[in-house]
Amino acid sequence: MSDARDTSPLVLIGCQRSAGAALARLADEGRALPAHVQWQSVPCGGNIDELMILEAFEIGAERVMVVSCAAGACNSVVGDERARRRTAATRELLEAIGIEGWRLRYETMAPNMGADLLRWVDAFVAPVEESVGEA
Amino acid sequence: MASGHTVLVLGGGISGVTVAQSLAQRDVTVHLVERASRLGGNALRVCCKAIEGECQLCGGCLVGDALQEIADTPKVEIETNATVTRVERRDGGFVYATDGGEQRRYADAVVVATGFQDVDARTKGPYGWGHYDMVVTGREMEEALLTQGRDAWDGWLDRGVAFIQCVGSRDEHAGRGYCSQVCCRYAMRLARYLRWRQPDVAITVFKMDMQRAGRDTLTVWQEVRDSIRFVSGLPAVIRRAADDPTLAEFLIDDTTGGETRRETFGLVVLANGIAPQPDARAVAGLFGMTRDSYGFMATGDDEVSTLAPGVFVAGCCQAPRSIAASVFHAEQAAEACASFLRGAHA
Amino acid sequence: MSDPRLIDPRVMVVGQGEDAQRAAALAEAAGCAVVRVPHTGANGDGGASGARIAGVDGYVGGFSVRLAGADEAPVGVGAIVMALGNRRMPAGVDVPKGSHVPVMTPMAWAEKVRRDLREEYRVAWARRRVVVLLDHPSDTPKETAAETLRAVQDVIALAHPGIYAYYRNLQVDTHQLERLTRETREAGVVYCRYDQVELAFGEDGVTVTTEESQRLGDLLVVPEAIHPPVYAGDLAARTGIRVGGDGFLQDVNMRHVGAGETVRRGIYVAGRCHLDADAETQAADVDRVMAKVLALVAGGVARLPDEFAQVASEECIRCLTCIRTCPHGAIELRTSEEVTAAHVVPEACWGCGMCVANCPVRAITLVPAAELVEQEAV
Repeated sequence: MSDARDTSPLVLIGCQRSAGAALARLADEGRALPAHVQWQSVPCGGNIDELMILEAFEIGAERVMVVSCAAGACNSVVGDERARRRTAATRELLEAIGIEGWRLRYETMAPNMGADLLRWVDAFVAPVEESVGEA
Repeated sequence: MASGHTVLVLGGGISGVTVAQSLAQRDVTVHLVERASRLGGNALRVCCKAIEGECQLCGGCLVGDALQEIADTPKVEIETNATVTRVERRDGGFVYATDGGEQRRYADAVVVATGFQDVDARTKGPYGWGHYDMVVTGREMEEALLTQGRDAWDGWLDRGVAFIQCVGSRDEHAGRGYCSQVCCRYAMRLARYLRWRQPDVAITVFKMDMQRAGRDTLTVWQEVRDSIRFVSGLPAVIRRAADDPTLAEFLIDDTTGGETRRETFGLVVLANGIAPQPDARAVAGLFGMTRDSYGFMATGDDEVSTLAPGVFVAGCCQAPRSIAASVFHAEQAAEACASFLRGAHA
Repeated sequence: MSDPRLIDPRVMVVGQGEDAQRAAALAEAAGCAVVRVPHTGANGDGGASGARIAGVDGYVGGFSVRLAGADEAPVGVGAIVMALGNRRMPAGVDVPKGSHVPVMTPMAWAEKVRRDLREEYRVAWARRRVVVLLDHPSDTPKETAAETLRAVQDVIALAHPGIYAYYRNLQVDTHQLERLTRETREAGVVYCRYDQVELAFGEDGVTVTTEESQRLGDLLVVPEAIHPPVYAGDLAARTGIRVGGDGFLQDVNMRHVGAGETVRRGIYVAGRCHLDADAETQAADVDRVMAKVLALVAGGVARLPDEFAQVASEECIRCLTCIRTCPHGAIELRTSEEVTAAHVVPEACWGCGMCVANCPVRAITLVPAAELVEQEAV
């Protein structure tokens, strides 16, 4: 198991009221996303669609993380639901064209979860293969 | 319209920011003065307790929205790292200076929104806060979840968690007979959150009376009630368990049922409440306000107008309230202030 | 169609109870023309037409409200305030047949004492033992908590029955509740906490058994349960706003809780139909929401959001997907120069971009408000 951080390109697509606000708050505290993460803001999770995610992979992302507000906290009420469903549908598309599903993640957060966002980004690595046989 | 007037808003927490935004929408120019280096106040210290991606309605995210909005509002001049040091009534309004500077400013009215400080858990000395590392306050729990991440307490949940309510509230002996309004709610949400992190965690809430709010907590209350043990009674003293110094132990008189038991827990969370700011007296003096017997700013029946004409209050500096209720209160204060401006300077 | 930027200065107030009266009075005092719609369901008040909303077209500043009854012309208003109030129902304590123990609401009880005293039954009342169940069988809503204690105070001022107030959790989180609890306790009300309570109705009265005590009462006082207004769901469906899982208007959503605004700009909710709080807070909510409504209407011009969606009408295939899926009711079909296409009304748009994502032909984009102003100027 390697301890090296994965610094391959990661695109973070997030709504401005969740990830966007959290990044603004982190900036106030002098913290930011690592250099290999590209931030893409959308006005609401409901604005995220398959094309947006696929384009992120097209421009060179090896991982894409989609972030929206939690259920029951979306300003447009149903945006988070759409983001979740769209992301799940896109994952199926990715696997159909040979890109592993783990490379696309969906998370929900609030503006005060900046610390968690940074950790999710760091922890966004390939799943460890289970070894068969020996203990 | 109340346009053409200027209002000084003292305090840039969720209440001050909401008042400023509300007044700006009525075409009033606002000078928002905040003593910290950033806006947001106490609401910034509330962590997100969403479970399984579902919001628990604590209101911590509201301040994020409010701060983004106020940044784009031209009629609000924001001054951070500043306090108001001199105030005089002049020309039907207020002449004041910030930070002992010479620059005199004028405002037609003032809204004080200076917020609160946490009750110091040391006021309940026998609970051992500050001496035992397994005894923490609710605020500390939130702080750790905020700064370290959502798994901050995962290693503490194996040997029972106790929440002790009303620390520094409903306690006439401590000079705080009032209810802090938010502790029952945040304790329930934290309890529910911990249960989500570790489904087999054993949580007990030691309480006097669990306070329920309206619609926004009904869903949380219903769920938590069936899965968490509630005991009517508060311990007198917390000690280290004799057989294991990493465990907290106390005797509890269950006031229904009447038996006395010894209980031990791996983590004890003190739900400490809301107290007036340490400089509340000085702030009140600056603007000619009076305070109530608990030290909060006194008002008339409308809860926003003080005895000093043209001086209004918003948020927890007037009485303990939740984030959502503070926003409500701030909007009321803005309306009262706008009404005053329309009337006095028609 | 009139200039979308100017606001129709009329306000529609929906509902017929205290909240609606208060909202209408505030609007009238500010010089606004008010259209009242009771919205009382299928048969209305004596079947009067215009008593119900059938649908709302248009957008903030220029709503066109269709009222029930085919002969009614749609009414034009600038803003709509839902002040439906709520419904009070008996709390549902099962009293076995044949039991003579009266079960009353706090208000009915206080009223009975007043009436009896006029007929000089003071002594009879002094011998009675009244059991007040503060949070049984269901938790007391905030709205009735203070009312119950005030009724207790009213009765104490008139007569002196023995009063036993049973509670699982005493609600003291407002100054008012704290004060009322303290004052009634000082006036001799016995407060009894319980975890489990059993009521046994018999010939002599009702036996109330808890872990700590057993008492016999001859009158049971139980506060009413608060239910959502009857037609909340129907009204929400017809006007494009949302109803929460508990049946009250508005989702229980942190960004909307208590704000008074709904997902459809220009439609507001006020008072009991969306809040559970004591009478003073309900009234303050109506005042607060009306202040927003009056500011909107007095402004004369609707404000544009920073960013909103715009349809390239020549690309639109009229599939109606955007119209159906817009959570804010901001899109309509419009014909201009013989081209029929979806049209996003800027003032009603929230800029969420869901229509952008949903459009199968990518005919919609988000544009900054400044661009629209430029386009108009040309």
